[in-house]
Amino acid sequence: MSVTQETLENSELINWTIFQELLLMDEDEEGFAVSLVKTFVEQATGIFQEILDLLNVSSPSDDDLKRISSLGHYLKGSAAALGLQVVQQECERIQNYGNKINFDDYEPAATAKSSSDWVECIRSAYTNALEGYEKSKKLLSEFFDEEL
Amino acid sequence: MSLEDMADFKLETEPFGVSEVPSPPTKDVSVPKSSGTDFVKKLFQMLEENSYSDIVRWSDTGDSFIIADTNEFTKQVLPKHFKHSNFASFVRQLNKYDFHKVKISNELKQRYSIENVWEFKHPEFQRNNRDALENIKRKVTTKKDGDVSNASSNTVSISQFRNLQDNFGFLEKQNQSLTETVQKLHDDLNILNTKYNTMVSSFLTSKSINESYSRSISIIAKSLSQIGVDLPPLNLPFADQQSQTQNPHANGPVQTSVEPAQDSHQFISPPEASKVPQPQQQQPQQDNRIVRRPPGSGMHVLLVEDDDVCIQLCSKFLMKYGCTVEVVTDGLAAINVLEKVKFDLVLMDIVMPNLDGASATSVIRSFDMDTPIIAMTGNYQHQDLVTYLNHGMTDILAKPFTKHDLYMILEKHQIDKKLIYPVSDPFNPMNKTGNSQETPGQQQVVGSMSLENDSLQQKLDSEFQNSLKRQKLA
Repeated sequence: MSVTQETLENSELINWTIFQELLLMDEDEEGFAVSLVKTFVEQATGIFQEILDLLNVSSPSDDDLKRISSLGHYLKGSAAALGLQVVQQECERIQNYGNKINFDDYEPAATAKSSSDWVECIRSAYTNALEGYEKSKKLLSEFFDEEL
Repeated sequence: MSLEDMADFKLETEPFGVSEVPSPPTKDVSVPKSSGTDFVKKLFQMLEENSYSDIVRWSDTGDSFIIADTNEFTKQVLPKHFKHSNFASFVRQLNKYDFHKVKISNELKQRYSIENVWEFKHPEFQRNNRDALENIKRKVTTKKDGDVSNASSNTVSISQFRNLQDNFGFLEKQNQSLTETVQKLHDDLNILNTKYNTMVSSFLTSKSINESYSRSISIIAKSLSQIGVDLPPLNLPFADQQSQTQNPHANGPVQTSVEPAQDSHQFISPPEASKVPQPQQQQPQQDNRIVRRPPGSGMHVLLVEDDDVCIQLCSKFLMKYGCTVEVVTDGLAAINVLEKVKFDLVLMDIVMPNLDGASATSVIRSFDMDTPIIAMTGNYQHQDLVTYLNHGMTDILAKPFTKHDLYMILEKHQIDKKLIYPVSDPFNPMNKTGNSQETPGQQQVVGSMSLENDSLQQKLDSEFQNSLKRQKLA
């Protein structure tokens, strides 16, 4: 089954309104959309790795959490710009949990006390974000018919 | 000198007793003899009595005397026998009578095992030789001879020197601490200056907000009175300025293309709409910055953003609307560029390395009050948005934004340039359907009123509701 506009539109992963604007930019510059997505993939790969490294620190300090939060914020912005809404949402969770804010009534976050508790919250959001990212990437690879 | 010897001297000197022996007249002495030779005699007498042999005594040879412990000498001997309050002054007196300090031989040092030993000598000052004392005279120095007094005034005694040294040390310390204080005050002043600048800019911001309120109230009042509602007099503080600051380009070709769509949302009659003042029209200040807008550019925009994806997308959008774009990636760089170059508009991310967008705006507002600075942010917290405004930001563009959101901001804050609005664009608000309809609709009402804080308020409300919705969804 090939991935078409309809697939993307119906996908929970992608905000079609935002993504469509991106595609329309190709009118002026051939391949602009796919090159932008590639830029994002490059960025995201690095940031996911950085977050993972910080999550695996044995006793994470508040500074580590802050750093994770700012990485989450950064990736959230890029993902939002492309309309990758699942990645965007999960990154927002990472950003908030890194600041020890339970902004979405997530139960483990409500009872989190130590930094390690928050790291576990972040880890959950991270797993979701990464999963959403891989799915989106696969979808877009097929849509553009180009390996991302 | 052995103890036996000393006992002998003591006996020998006994007959002289404590009483002062009248000194023979000394006609040529330049100093009154009472204070002059008395000193030497007192010294001689004391040594002959030898009552402080541990502290001061004749040397073995008898042609010099030794002070073995200057501390004890100062404590015990000086107060009793001399008027000198300290050792240095005593030594000075000796010098005046031409006594010389003798370098202490190692042999003696060893014998008394004391380092702090002083030995003084005068050719006429000898044990058992009271008569010779008459030959010891105060050095011819003072008062009578100008040359000599000059010579002596060029020399400084050791105690004076020490005093001066102490004074110098004290002054040096004082100077140092003063320098530190001055430096600290200087730093404090700098901090205060920065705060002052920030204060002034936020004050100006709130002033322009007040003006906007006044204008909007008076607009509302007018429309109400046109409908036929009776209103009490309002006495608005800035109402007078309203008629003067009319929007000179309200009927530009760009706006006319958008106007029809606005009508459905407007509650102001068309004649009023054309009179709407623009809050952006600040009094122009002297400006030496260069304009680097390329020919044909609709608007020259500075994009301050650290994310590659956003940079590429946003510049693309901007170029689509005929804008030219320069990009910097942090707040500090933005300040540097804006100090030199004048832009028509600044799009500013908030979270950035080096210096965040809000702080950068505060600084920029200290030298540039009129360039619109638009915060691009994904932050939906009420308080944050108010903070941005207080830092001098002109408006908010919520991230992620559509091309149309961006266009509305550009259109609202353009000064005298024509934006290219592609009418065939599927995102033209007239053609627009679907989930983002709500937002442009609100913005158009706002746009027609040109009230930046109204716009903010509505944006706040809509964003706040959005975030509530999203929380519920999550």
